[in-house]
Amino acid sequence: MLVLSRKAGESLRIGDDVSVTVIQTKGDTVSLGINAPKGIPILREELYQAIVQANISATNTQVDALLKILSETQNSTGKTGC
Amino acid sequence: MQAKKLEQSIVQVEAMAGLGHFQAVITSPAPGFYFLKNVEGLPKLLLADIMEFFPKYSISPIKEQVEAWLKGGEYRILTTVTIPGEDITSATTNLVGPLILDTQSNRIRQFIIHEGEYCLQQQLFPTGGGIDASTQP
Repeated sequence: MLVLSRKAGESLRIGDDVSVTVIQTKGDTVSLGINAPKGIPILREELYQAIVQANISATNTQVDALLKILSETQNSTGKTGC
Repeated sequence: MQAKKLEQSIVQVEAMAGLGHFQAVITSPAPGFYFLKNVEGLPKLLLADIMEFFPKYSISPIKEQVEAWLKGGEYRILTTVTIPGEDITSATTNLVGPLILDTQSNRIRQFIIHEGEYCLQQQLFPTGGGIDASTQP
């Protein structure tokens, strides 16, 4: 991990298209301003990790058994059970 | 509303948090559901066509990101489905991290809605008590 020190009002640049500016610091909280192309998602790390866990949980779903149930439900009623 | 069944297609999954990029086969085993399986076997995912379950669901906070990524104009919004055990009525779906399927270029990418009040584990089916799914998020 690259560690750089910046004061309020100072910036750093990532590649050609992304810049991060320290807007203000207040106690142990830092406000950051980020300029990046629209196609680049910018997320709090904890939200990203929550999504990772949700995706992993989804892969643990017993999909094959459920596909069988869905097919059987569709064949018997012509619609899903929702 | 009955979802149009997709033919079996190969799609390129471009970015899923924690799962990365992979090529997958997508099929529709039942209206409103899709099955995504990595061509190499894993991961496998059950997906929901979320507009079938929550017609008022909106991706407006990420609309610009999605439009910058799309190659065509048409897309579907899919969400991962998690089911503890085999009881499909307990299924939840992740409304925070929808998957956008670009039907023109056969690509899928996960986007994350970081504002608003959608939740990671939204009950997919209404429970008893007459909750109207069309009024859900």
